[in-house]
Amino acid sequence: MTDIREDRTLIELFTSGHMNRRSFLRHAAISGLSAGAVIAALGAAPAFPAYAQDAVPQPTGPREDGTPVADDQQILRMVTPSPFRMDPPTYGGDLWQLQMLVFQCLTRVDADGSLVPGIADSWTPSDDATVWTFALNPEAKFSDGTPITANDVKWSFEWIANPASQSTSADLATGKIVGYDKVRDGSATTLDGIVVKDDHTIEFTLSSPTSYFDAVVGHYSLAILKQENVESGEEWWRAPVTSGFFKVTEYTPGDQATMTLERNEHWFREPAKLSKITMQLVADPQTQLVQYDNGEIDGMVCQPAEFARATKPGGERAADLFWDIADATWYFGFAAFKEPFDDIKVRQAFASALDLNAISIAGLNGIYPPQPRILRSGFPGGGDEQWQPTFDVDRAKQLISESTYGSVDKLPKITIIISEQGGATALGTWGKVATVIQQMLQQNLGVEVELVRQVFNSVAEQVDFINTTEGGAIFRLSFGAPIQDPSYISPIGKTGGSSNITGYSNPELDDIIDQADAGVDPAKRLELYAQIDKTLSEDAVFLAPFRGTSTWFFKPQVRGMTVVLGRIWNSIHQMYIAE
Amino acid sequence: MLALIVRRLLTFIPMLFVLALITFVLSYYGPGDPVRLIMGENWSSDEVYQSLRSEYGLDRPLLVQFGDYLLHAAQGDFGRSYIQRVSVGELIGRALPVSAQLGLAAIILIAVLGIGLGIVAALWHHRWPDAAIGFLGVLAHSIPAFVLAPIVLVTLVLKLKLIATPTGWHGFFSVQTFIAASIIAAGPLLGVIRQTRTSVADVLSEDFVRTARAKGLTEARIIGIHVMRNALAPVTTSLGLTFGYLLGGSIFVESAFSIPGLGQLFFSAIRTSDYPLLTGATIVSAFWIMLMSLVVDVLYGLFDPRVRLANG
Repeated sequence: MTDIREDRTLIELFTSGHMNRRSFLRHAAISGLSAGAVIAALGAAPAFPAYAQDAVPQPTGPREDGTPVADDQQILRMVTPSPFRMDPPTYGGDLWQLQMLVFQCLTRVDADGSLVPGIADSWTPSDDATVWTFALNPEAKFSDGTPITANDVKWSFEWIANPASQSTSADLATGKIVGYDKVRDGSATTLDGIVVKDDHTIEFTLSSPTSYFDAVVGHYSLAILKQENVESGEEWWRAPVTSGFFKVTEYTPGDQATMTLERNEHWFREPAKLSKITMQLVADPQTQLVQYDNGEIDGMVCQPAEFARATKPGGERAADLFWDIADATWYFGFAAFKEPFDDIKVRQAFASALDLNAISIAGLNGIYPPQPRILRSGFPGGGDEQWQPTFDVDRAKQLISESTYGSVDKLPKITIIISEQGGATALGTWGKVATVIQQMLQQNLGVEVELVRQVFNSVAEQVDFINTTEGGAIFRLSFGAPIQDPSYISPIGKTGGSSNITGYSNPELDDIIDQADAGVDPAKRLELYAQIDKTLSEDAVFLAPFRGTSTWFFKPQVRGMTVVLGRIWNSIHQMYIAE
Repeated sequence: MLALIVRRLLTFIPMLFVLALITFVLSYYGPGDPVRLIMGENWSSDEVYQSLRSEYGLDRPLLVQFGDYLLHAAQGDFGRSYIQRVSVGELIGRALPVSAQLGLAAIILIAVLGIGLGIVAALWHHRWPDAAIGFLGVLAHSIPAFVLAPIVLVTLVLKLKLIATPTGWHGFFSVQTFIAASIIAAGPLLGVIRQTRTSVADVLSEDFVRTARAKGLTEARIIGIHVMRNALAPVTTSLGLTFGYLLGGSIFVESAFSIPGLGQLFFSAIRTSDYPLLTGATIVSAFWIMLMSLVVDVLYGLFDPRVRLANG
């Protein structure tokens, strides 16, 4: 017979989630715990074990430098899961975004996240940030050796604004340049706001103050293209004249696409360390793994299941794993424009009732860690503060009692709408996460939540569905930073903002967003965006936000890569093969 | 016979029309918006979305889109893939010969193994070779291609280290094609074994076989000439139809071995809501299946004069 103190320890270990059900029953039997105590403990035990913060995998960080192999051996062999081609304006969705390997914009985000010269050497805004002048590098050349001039820059911007380019981000890239609307509606083909001062100087006049325009012109779709090349035919991208680190020397499109890139000898800044990159499209991740394990390729995207295996102690391919946080948020959000989630206390209560660590591990294989605030540490205006409500069941219950409803019995029907389409993880992952959320809300708050699976053709359709859903609604979506500037969170929080699907509205925050977006003082802007981030996180606009990640397997000899703006390709010039 | 072939060919036209219409309507009303998929989940403005719909011609009424498609398809232009931006004709033109050769390799394996094992099973009817062949056939049939393919891949590449990962197309006479074709053949093999076994067993009990034996003909001659000619007709039908389906590509095997055939095209077209590619690949696959069905009927007539007479 054990003493009472041992019984209490056993029960505490189990009910706090530090011992699984099987171990508890075995120890209970050995120690002779009474049947009543066992039953009580089983009833009190959480359905999900509590995971310590350190149980969530942490980014691997950069690899140590090594001695580079000879130049002719600086070859990186990659395999891609998605189609690829080099037509920057049309990039988006399912295409593998490789354009930063071969094209260059006026500016570029460097491996350390700072904005550095691309085609342009320097840039100067006017005091009100409505006129920007860029000085191009006089040595800038295309891969065919012809010079890159201000006229090429002007044409590239106008091509992206032109609907004929089928650009997927025309508004983001060129929407602020005077004359954009006229080009979009077909009444003009040139942007009035772009003036070529001389061969190496170009001036942009904007329709509103944009102190981050230097970051905008670094957007991947604004690659500088050669007019003659693009106008050579509808499939000009089969043999693109490039403007960046590499040139394309072989390309076979289709479902067995291959591409070979070689160092661009006309690139006028520090050359890439790799001399050659080979790409092959292999859609099946299992086949990719066999290729990788057999030493036929040097790198591949790490899928969630493999990520989970690699991040366990002594895990499979642990030494090859390379991953970091991407500037993106995958979230389950509240329909905050209608009952009951128009009540901040209810939102906070629901958010406090979820153990995001457990959800991340149990539902997402740990590949997307919980998000403590929107802007991550290292991103302009970002940090590590914990502003999203933390897991605290007592506080959750307290918040419900303080809400206008008083108790969960009075809450209306609540539905989680699961839309798998567009997810970065395997099909069914978000449904699994939703099921975990459903069970946690039931267990911790006593709230019954219904799950509805739905495929939407558009965000507008999803919004309509949320509007017509009876009672409270929770839905899943994502957003990310397209440029190195925190302004990407503005349309998430602004009343009526293009990405404000939650319907959250806070007039005070709207004023702050307006000030931040139009601000010209960089330090003040970052302060305002941090404030916006804090308000959105603390007001629990998101029920369960997770950070996006970029996860890879690279052979140990591959060095120099970092994840910038969600992609390793922004660090391609620093990657190399070590001995 | 010629009239039969012409008549059958003419029926292809309305069938392909209906098939194209069904595929088009399902794509139009089905889930997944290609423009949204092209733009990604981090959508841009609604103006950009509408502009892209207009550029892709997706803002037009269904019948206008379908009519335009048919007009171009009749001239051999199946449009341009939304995602890959390459002519669908070019993609199918590259994929079809690959799937056809892979299908041919698989059907040869099915025919040789299926008929051979079927004869052995019939000759040793209800004895241990029959049971062993039945068991192996069922086993091969029971393991789905998407399970068998990775097992074979891992075993040959990583465990036995016999070959490099067989990605891509290496021609008809290659180890890679043999492996992929064997996996494709594993499923349909059982049907051919059973059909051959039953047919041969039935024919063996016929009077004319007993007469042939009484005349002192060798067993090989009896089986090779008299039995096979009568037993092969239903097996030919089965093989022909199987070949038609195999020409459409095997999604799982082509994906696992990264073979650039029609199966891979279908897979990527479905995954990305690439309507022009999906419709084009469907029409071409359906045409092949119809064509093979016709070829089988013609061959059937050659094997069995009664059918030839019935068809006039």
